[in-house]
Amino acid sequence: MHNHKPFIHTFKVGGKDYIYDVNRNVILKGQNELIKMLMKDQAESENVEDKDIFELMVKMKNDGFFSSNRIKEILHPADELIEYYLNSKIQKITLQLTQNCNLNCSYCAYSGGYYNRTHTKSRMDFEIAKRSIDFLLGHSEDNKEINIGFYGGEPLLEKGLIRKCINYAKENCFGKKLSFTITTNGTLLNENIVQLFVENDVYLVISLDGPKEVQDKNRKFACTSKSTFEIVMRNVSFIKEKYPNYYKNICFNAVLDQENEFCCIDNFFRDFDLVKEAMVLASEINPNSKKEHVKNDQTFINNYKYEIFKLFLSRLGRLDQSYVSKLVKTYFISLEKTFAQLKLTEKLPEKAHHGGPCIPGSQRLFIDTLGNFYPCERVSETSEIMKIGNIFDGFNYDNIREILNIGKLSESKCKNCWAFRFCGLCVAMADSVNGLSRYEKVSKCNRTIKFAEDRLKDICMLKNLKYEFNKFIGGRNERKTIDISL
Amino acid sequence: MKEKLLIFPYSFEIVPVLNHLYLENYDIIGGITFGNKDNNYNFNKRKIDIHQINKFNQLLECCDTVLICDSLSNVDYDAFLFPKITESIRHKKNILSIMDIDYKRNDIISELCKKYCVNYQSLINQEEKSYLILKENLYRIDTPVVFVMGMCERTCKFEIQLNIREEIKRLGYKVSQVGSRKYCELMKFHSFPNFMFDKAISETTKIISFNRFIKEIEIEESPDLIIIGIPGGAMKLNNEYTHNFGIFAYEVSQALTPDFVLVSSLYENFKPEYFQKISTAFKYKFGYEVDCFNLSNVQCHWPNAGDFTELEYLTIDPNFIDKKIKIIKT
Repeated sequence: MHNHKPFIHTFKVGGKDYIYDVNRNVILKGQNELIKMLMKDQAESENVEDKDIFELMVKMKNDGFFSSNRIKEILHPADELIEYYLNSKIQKITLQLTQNCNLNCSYCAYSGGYYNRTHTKSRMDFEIAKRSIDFLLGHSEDNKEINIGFYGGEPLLEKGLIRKCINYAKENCFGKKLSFTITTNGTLLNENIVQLFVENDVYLVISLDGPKEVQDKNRKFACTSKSTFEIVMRNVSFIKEKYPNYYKNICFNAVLDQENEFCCIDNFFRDFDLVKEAMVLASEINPNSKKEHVKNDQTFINNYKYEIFKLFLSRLGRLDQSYVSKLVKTYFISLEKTFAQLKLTEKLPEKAHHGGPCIPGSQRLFIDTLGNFYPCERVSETSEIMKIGNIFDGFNYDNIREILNIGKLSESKCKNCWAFRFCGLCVAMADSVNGLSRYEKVSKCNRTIKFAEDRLKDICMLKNLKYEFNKFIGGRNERKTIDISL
Repeated sequence: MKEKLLIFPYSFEIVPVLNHLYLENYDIIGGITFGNKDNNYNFNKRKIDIHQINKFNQLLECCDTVLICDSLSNVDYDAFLFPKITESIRHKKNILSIMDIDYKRNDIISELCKKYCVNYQSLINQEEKSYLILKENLYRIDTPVVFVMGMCERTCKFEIQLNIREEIKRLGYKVSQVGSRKYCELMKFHSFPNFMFDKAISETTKIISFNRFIKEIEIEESPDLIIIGIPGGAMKLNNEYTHNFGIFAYEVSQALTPDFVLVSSLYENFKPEYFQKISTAFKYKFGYEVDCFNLSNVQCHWPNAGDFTELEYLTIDPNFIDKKIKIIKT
């Protein structure tokens, strides 16, 4: 049945009405009367008293606003060209050097708490690594830059292999910028390997959750009761002392467990000497494929939101940014991305796909120890649909197309969802391990829609306060602060 | 005896030149690519042997001259191209260049070539033309004029210009041509004149000068047809990717009126209405409608596009485009 109602979403910010027009992809400052009228049937709206509002609505409808047009088919725009993307536009590979780890962290995806593989002794053979690097070099002709990531288990259990991979890639990569990334728990860093990283400008991401009591609570050695915190800090201290320039490039990745105190973690990353200057990426415990429900703590959430409030104040020039938690700064990146997405369009296309899925294999191809391909390192390796090929036979385009067009699982719901363009759901959220599941995917919709609405509201609030997104004009009198009256 | 020529680097950019140029003094022994050799082989009509970069030294030993080519922007000049040029000279190979090399590096190459007693010839058009403008009037061009334009960069304009030239000449007509690249003299026609790139010359003077440049060609060459390839894109792609705002297209369109306009576009899954809208935009922006569109086998790589990022591209098999055009036509 065709839905004749305008495809819009209404919301309030600071007592004012706003309309997000899905077809025109624009936020309108609404009037209560106009919104009421839009929600009425055609026959009723012709009898309204306020003729000015009625005329405005008619004029805007003629300009394509408030259309009831829906997408006809869920189909990712990259679908028809996927073979070409994977032939010449692979941008990054992540090599699973080993499935083994010297830690046994409680929330690790391989610790047994997830429907996923567990740590094993499987290691990547250098021949597999070489073929993987060759595969990247042979399928990246349209890129100016490529990246090789080292991942595990704990990749530093395979220091010799890392060295061989870096050397092999450098010897065989020509004509494009080659960079390396490693994600490690930081306990096995030593002088030799750090020197290799410094020489090759390897981007070092160290998993560190916070101060000793927080880090040691979840990140534990598999065989001893030694503190992981102390060892990681000792290694970081060594890097800072010996390679101060390289130290500035280290990034800490903190998994925020809401059973801890937000302020305690925040103070650590703000004040602790060894980490206060470094970049911190914060993420939640991954709820996908987790056997037990991840608990939320209201105090933790409140503290987090208060920091977001401070972040807004700092962006508006009312608070020095040194007072803002590093753990929330990435939120502004998501706001800026959403703002950039708000570009006026004529209408929704006939065929489209909701936001969320990457182009599987093109953006961060994950290769396990045996040479199997996965869309990224965050998906379950035990799930058959996630296997998108292997180093010997190439890509499995059937699985890739299914993953790319994940929206087809919930086609009718997605076609009528106002947050279609802002959705963040990808295959990782639709995997029941036994296959792709509509139920799994749809169960995440409310949260995703709420997140989209929050971002639109924050954008409206900041715009009301005269915040300019994405604007570096470069003028000599570039304003450092913006006057606002609260 | 013919000299043995090595093409370096072999890329998408050099393919039209090799497909249409007959170098009578040279035998091409192969090309060196930085990428996956199979990808470029599809477009390579003369079936030149393409090798990956690890064969560079081996092929260098077998050649007399290295042709340094304009390459796609995704090769870092300082890190990868310049060292190979100097290596070639040290191996006593002559250097021919169709790459627009800056003065500083040009001097280094010249000096090194002298030291190793090898020849260095840049085929980039260096001619600095200028016209005495007494009155800012435009001359009427009586010969039919074809414009070949691109909606933006990387739309295979040069291949189209060379194909039209070949076909018109095959039909027995005399063609004069101004190409969109800086080394068209190699192909026996004119490069887009240097005064059009000169920032010290006013836009008005450029327009008048371009009109006289074409009038001069018309008088001197008496052609049946003039083909003009306009560098860059015809208009901004969007607010993030502005492509010199189609300034060259605007200036050339002010200087003379075309009789036939061909516009090449990057690939998208366009509907026929798109082409109608573009033609209308041309009508009001430049004063003429588009007679013919070409769909190139390159697409913008939208997933990486955004604020502060360079535009990236995706190469598509031309057979895919041919099938798509058939679908659009039906």
